[in-house]
Amino acid sequence: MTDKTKLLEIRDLDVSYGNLAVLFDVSLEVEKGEVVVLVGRNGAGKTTLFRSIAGFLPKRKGSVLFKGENINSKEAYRIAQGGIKYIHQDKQVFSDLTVKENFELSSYATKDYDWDPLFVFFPKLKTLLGRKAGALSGGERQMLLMAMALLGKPDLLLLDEPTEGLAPHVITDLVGVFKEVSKTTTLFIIEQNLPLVAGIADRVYCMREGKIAAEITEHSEIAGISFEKYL
Amino acid sequence: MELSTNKGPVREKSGRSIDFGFLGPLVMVAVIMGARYLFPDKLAFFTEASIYAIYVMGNNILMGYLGYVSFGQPFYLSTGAYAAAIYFAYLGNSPIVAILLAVAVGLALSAVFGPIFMRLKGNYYTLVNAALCAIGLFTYEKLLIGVTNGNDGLWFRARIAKMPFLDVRLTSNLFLMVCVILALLLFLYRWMDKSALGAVFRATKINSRKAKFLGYNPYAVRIIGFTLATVLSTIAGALFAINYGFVNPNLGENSRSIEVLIATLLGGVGSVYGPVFGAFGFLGIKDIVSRFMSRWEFAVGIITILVLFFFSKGIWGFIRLIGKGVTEKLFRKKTAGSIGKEK
Repeated sequence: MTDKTKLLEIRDLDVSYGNLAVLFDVSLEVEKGEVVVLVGRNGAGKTTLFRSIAGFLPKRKGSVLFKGENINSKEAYRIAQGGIKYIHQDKQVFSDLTVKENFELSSYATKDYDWDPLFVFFPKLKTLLGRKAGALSGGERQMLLMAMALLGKPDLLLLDEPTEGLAPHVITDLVGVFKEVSKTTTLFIIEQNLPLVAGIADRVYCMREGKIAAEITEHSEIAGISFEKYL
Repeated sequence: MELSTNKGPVREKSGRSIDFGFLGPLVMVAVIMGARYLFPDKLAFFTEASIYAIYVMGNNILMGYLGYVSFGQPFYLSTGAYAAAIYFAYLGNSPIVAILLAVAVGLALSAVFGPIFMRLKGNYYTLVNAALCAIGLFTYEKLLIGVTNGNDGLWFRARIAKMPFLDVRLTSNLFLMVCVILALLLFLYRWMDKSALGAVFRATKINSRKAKFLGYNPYAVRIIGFTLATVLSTIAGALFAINYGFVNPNLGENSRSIEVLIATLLGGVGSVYGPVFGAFGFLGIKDIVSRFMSRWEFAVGIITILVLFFFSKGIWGFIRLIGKGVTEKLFRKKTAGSIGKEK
C-alpha cells in the first residue's frame, strides 16, 4: 500500500505553551498511503503535536515539512487549504447549522461539491441532511466531521481520538470507514484504544512526556502493543 | 450558490419548486411604497425609515452575521453624511456623486480601521468603536469647525442639483430614489445571505476556530463583513444628508449608537429583512410615543426587554414563525382532506 513518499516529516520539534515546554525534540515521519497511529497516556503531548502540525500552536524549535515544504510559519487555514485536515477530539460541528449547511461550508472552502463519494462511506449522513448538527449523536458528529474533512480530497487527515466516547458498534463502523478512507487518504490518528490501533495501524509511534518513546513497525508487535510495555 | 444540482444528492429530482424568495426585496419595497400612499402625510417618516433600514442592514452584518456589537456605528453614519455634505457645500452638486463619494469613504474607513479592529475580540471591539465615535464627534464638532461649521452644521439644500432622470429635491422623488436603492441593496443582501459569504460569516460567528479547520481565514472574513457594514452605514449617511439638506455633529453622537442596536434586535438579528422591520418598528415607536411623552426611550426600553425575553428572533422572526404555523396548519388540513378522499 505504501509508496514510500514522505508526506509529513517532523524534525526535532519543540513546542511550548508560554514558558511551559510540552514537546521535546519530536521527530517522526508519515508516508503517503500509511495509517500511522500515535499512542500515549493523557498529557503525553499528542494533541499538542497535532495542534502544532495543523498550525494552531507556534513551534519553538524544529521543523514540520509537508510534501517537502516547511509549514512552520503557515497559518492554520493555509495548512488546511494545503491538504492537511485536522479533526479535533472535541467533535465540534457548526451545531446551529444543518448537516447540509455544514457540508456546504466545507464545499465552499474546498470548491468540491461532489458529495456522493462521502455518502458511500457515511450513508447515514444522507438521511440526516436536514437535521441540525447540534442534534447529532457523537458517532454521527464524528462521521460528519470526517465527511467534511474529506471534501477537497486532502492528502493527510489528522484524527484526534476519533473513537473517544463512542459506542462499541459505532467504533466498529468507524474502523471500517478508516480502512476504506485510507485507500485514498493518508491517516495520522491519535488513539488510546489499543485493540483498535492493532486493527488499523501500519505503524505506531508511542509518546511519553512530550517525547517519542518508541516507533513500532512490526505488525506482530503492533498487535501486542500495551501501555505497560511502551508507555 | 446551489449545490449538488448535478452531482450531489441534495436536491430532489422530482417535486422541484421554484424559489420565489428573490421577489422578497421587491415585495418589501412595494409594501413600503404602498404604505406611503396610504399615509400621504407621513412621507418624511417613510423616507427616513427606509434610509435607516440601510443603516440597520450594516449593523446587522456586524451583529447578526459576525457576532460583533459596535457602539460606534454613528461615527460611520456621520462620516458618510459629512462626505456628502462637504461635497455639496464646497465641491459639487450631484446626488449620485455624493453617494458614490460616501461609498468611497466607507471603503477608505474600512481599509484603515478594518484590519486593526477586526483583530479585537467582542468587548474590546465594542469599546474601541465607542472611542472612535467620540473622537469622530469631537473632530467634526471642533477640530474641523472651519469646514463643518461645528454645531451650526453644514447647510446645502439649495446646492443639491436635479438628477438627469429624477429631481430628488422633491421629497416624493427622493423617497422613490431611496426605495430603489433600498431594493437594490436588499437584493444584494439576500444574495449575500444565500451565498457562500453568508454561510462563512455565520460559520465564523459560531465557531471561528472550526472555520479555520476547514480552510477559511476568519480574520479576512471579518474584514469583509466590516467593510460591507461600513459602506452601508456611509451610504445611509449620505442619503440622510441629501434628505435633510444639512448635517451637524448630532448624527454621530455616542448616545445614538444604542438606537441602531435596538432597531437591529427589534427587527430580527441575522436575518435579511429584519433590518427593514427593525428600522420601521423602532422609528415608528419613537414617532408615536414621542407624541405622548418626551422620554420616548422609556417605551423603547420596555419593548426592547420584551423582545429580548419573548421574541428573540424579532419582528421578522415572529412573522416567519406565524407564517410557518399557518402553512403547516393548511398543509395538514390539505393532507387530511386528501387522505379522506382516498378512503
